[in-house]
Amino acid sequence: MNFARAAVAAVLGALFLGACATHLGSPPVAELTTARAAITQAEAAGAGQLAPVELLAARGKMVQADAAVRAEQFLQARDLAEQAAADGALAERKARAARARMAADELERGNAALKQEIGRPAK
Amino acid sequence: MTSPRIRLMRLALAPVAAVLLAACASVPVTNPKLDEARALYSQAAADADAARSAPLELRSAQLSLARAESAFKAGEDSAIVNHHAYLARQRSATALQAGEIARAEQAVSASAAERDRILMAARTREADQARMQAEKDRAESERARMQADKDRAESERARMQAQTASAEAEQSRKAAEAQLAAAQAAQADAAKLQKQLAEMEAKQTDRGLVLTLGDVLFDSGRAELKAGASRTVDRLAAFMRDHPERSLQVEGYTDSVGSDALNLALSQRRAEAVQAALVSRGVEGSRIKTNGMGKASPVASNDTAEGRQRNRRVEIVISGTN
Repeated sequence: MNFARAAVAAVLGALFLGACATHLGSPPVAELTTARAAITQAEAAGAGQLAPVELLAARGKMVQADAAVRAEQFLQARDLAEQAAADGALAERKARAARARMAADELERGNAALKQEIGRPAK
Repeated sequence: MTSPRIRLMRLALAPVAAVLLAACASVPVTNPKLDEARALYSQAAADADAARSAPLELRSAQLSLARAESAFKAGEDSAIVNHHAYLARQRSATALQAGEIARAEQAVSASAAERDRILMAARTREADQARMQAEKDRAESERARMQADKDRAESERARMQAQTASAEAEQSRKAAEAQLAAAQAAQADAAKLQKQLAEMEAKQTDRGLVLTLGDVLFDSGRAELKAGASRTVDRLAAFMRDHPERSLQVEGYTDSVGSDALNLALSQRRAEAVQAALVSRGVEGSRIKTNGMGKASPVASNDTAEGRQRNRRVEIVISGTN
């Protein structure tokens, strides 16, 4: 009997906590911080030129998240911040991938030019 | 048995029923955003480079996808499904980009290694070429040096040959000169000898050159040379000094008057007198032999005064090389 009552209490508590989660009472500080950091890193990685779509998406969602925070729509703010962080992280990786590919291409071209300059391709 | 018309109607109605059933269900059959997220996640999970370089992104993509799937299955609000599907999609894409980065960096490393290899190969080739060139140059200079040595030896040999030839020429010239001089001297000697012999009225006989001093050089029965003989003796002494290789045989002769012993002794003394006169003029005594012949070997008849006078004489035989 006690077991059954405890189980019911646990389920009720879980439901309550779940309700709290869906109705946040404070701004999603951690998510917002993570998103801002991701955007900063993406900008530092040159995403402004190399991944502009993703970076703009991240910035737009960041603006929306801030607006949601002001509107005390914290749940919405949290989702937007999460998406902004994901967009920012993608923008950063995409920019870095583009730069790494350019470096690889540059080296490959350099090698080809070197071979040509040396005159005979190395066997 | 149903008619074909009714059967056709049933076939046409089947899709309609399916659509109606789907609409009736509280859960939609598909969600394009979820499909997209699922596909991209599968791609990322299958990418070994992505899995290795972005495990956390891949893991959170998986969690978001699972969350979206369960929300979708549970028939939650499509906004929630879409939110998690979006996160899953973006995180999968991020993982794929991480894989791209890893591949590009591998390409960078490979290119750098390739660059090193190319440069090394070029340097090796250059070194090889330089070594071969140096080898060639060394062989060339060695060959040139050997040629120069050969040329030098050749010219040295030629020079020595020329020197030898010129020395030989000089030698033969000198030899010819000496020969000529010797010939001239011999000719002069012969001429002088001839002249001296002619002056002394020497005669060539079987015994050699014979000079006859008549008895007018001696008083009768005496053995002392008279003053008139000195000119003939002077000439003979000069001849002997000029020709040291010659020797003399001085022979005294008498006529048949008087005893043999007296004539022999007298002829011996007369020969010795001539020898003494020559020695006093510087001719070595050892080169002059004396012989008293007495009345032997008359050159004329002892029956007449004139014949006897001719038999009283001293004959001087000049021997030695002529």
